[in-house]
Amino acid sequence: MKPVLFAIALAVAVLVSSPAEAVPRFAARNGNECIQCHISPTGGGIRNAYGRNVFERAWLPRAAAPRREDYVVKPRPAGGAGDNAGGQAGADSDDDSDDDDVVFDPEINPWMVLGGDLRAAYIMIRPDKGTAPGEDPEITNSFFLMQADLYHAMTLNKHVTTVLDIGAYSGFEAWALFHAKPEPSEYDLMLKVGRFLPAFGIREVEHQLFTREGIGLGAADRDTGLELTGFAGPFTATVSLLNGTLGDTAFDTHGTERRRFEKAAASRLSIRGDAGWVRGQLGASFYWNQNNNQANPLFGRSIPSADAAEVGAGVEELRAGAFLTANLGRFTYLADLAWVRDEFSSDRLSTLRGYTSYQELSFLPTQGLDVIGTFEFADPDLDLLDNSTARAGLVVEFFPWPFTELRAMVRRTWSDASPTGGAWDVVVFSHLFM
Amino acid sequence: MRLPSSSLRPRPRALRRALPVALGAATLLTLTWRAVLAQDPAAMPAAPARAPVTGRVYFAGKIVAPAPITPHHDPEVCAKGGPLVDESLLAADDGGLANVVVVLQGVASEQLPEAGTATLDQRACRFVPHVRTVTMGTTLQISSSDPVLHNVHAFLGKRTTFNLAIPVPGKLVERKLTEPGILRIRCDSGHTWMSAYIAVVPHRYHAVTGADGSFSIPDVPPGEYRVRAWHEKLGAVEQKVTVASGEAPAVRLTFKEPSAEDPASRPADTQLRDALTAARTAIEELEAQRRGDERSRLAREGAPLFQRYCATCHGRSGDGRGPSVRFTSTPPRDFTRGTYKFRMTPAGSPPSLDDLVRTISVGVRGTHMPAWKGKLTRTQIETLARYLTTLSDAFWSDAAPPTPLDIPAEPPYDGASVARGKALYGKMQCATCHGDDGHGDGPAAKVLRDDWSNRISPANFARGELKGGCCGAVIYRAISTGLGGTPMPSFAGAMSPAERWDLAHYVLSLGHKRPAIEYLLRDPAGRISSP
Repeated sequence: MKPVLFAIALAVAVLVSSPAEAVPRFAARNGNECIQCHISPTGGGIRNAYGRNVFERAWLPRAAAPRREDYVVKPRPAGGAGDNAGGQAGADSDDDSDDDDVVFDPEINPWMVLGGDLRAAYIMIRPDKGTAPGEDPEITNSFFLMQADLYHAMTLNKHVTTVLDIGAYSGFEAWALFHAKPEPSEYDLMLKVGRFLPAFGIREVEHQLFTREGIGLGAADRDTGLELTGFAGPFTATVSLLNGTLGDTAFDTHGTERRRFEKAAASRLSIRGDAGWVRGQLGASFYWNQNNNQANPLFGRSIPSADAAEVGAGVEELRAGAFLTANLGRFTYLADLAWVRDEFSSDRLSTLRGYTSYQELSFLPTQGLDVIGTFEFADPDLDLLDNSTARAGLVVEFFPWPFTELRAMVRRTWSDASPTGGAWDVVVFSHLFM
Repeated sequence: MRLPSSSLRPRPRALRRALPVALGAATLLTLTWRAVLAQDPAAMPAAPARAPVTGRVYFAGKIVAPAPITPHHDPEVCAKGGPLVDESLLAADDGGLANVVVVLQGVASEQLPEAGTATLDQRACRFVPHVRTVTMGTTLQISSSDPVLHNVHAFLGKRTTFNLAIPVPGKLVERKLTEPGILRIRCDSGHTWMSAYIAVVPHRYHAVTGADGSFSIPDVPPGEYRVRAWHEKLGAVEQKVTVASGEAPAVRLTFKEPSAEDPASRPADTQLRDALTAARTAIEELEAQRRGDERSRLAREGAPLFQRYCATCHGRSGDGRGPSVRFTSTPPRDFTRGTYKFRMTPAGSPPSLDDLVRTISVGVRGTHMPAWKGKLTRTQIETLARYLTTLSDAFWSDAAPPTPLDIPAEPPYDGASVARGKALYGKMQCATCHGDDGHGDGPAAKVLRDDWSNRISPANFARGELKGGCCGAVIYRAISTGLGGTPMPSFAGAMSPAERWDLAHYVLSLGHKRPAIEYLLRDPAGRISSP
């Protein structure tokens, strides 16, 4: 395959992977956890009743601003006894009738609900130079379907929920959630069993970030196992035990080929704080894979192609991360750092260490409109001198109506590792969700 | 239901048959009545002589001196009446127990005496008297002798029945007491020790024990009664008494030491309230049945919408304990008490249907309650509002609906109005909670709690964002009716409408001054729904 075609294929592959993730900015802004809007305690995918009926419907989109007279109306004449409760409201009966409007609701019945994400995009990527000296840069210029995911959740009883996520590109998630304390209490405990994305760092919606797909946490990197999440006051802790076959097919066949009990373990611990006008969250994550079958994507260019086959002999991978979210008025800041180490079973490959970071500062001028600046950095050898990649972006997100997002993004990448050098990319997409 | 006009027209043949019967009956009644009037009054049997029921109430537990209270708020005013003490258990050396409500039960129905008045003063940061009884229909005249902000926040059970501000000494605010039961009264204005109890009794036979535990209920007609005594800390006891013609034995009632296992001490006010509630007439029962049917119908209609859109925060039963409350800083409203912040109805009254529709439509700023207008149809919002009324008995009482607040036209917003409002802000002691500059940092701010005992902060006017929404009329409404479930009382009795507008303009002006830094860094960013 020609390098140009490979680059285009890679770019499209990166962008079309299912980004069925959460929006940590929303949680940080409101002092919440992901579970405030999602059924999954670690976020992403199908939304819960609050997410779909309160946040998505009424808090997130640009509000139809109440008129001044909506707030106080003239009293109507007092009626007889009982009218106060059962009578007709009518003091502001001059209000436009909207009873003909269709009120969409994905809740099929009290125990079954559907959800979905549909993203259609236009993308333009313009590298600084061609892949070979003297060649013009190959510009990507295309419409395409980024994501088409259908979710399905069933509440079997107040303690058990099952979730299925069928994506057009990224296989599927399927898990059951056992909920110890479905009623409000000081603490809570949930056990997830099935196939899902392990919890690590900030589960940002931009799946192609250096701190997400860049270190093996992309939309396709589902794994199968158990995940226990506990909430106690401001603390949230998640511990999971997994096959460790990230990026595998739906049935984790590699898990059955392992000779011993070789597994992966992940954990995530965070604490929230709220001082009234400023709120935030501080956390740490760990991931250890005893015997992976591939190197971490961060080291993709660090392994000589001649030695690529040696990776299959086994990789012990360790990741450690720290993250911070802070909200101050209309500003929200997210920072996510991840350090990765791969130790190879083959003597021909030496241990690799690298790190990535993601920072985001957003401003909310008004409900439904977000202006976001981002900065990413990835360095696969920790020396900060060569092979590093930096990327800065400016994003405008607009939610004009419930369940509808319009998004435009311009990004600039600087890289001394890529043969095409840096690049400009522009992505505009519409996102319908429920 | 309007009948067809033909059904009201008498038929000639039926009229001819009925006329002689009616004339005969009228003649018989007239003769009988004349015979009664012709009787000699002296020959009629004398009414049985009434007698006072007297007695003493004792406390059989360990008697200790009342605990002293250190006033941490307004100490110079609160110390004027001498040392403050805990008045919840005052017993004489021989055990005579003061401040006990004594009520006769088993009283035959009789016409209530003409409604009178009773006083409740706030003097040196105490309610005076601490305990009193009144006959239902009495007008309570509330006053303050202190040059600091007090408010009379009255609860019946857990429900606020009224919350009235008394910011100026000598100002008299009146409230008619029409619902039987024991009102628990507190002051939210930083005087956390202030409490009082008023027993509203649906007949005239009641008393409060004096300092030695004695009481006297005058003019009790002969008969068998139960004398029920209630104490704020010790619960309730009762004893039978028989009043013969002109005489009654002295009653002796004794309270034991309270214990956690004693069920009588816990639901005492509830028990007494139930006992005080007079039996309903057959017509009232029928009306209650009709309302019950209507309530069930509204509940059936609104339940699916409520469970779908509201229950995740407000709970399936509407008690404010939905599964999404874990991370919400402002607790969702508990609808089962019928207490609502934003009302056009008087303090202590349930909101009107329009009030509920409005709040659902525009949401509550700075909280997780969104504006549903445009997301749900008008019909759905009204159905939800009616459903909310089914969650609390407060909407279904026998009383006629309260008259909603009439907000007069807004006078010009100008410097003179703002200046007058500023003077009123000081005179009405608003700074006690809201602070001198309206930042919500007054001296009482840290001890404020809502009706559910959650910590609550006064509004910060400098932010220019109020939970009730925009505009001067919203502030006028809050000043007039108070904010149900919060310490914010009604100032309707303390200020004229023109003064309320001036004060509203001053509060608005505080928000207008806010610097850009407030806009950028102090707004609850995820919860903006400004017009």
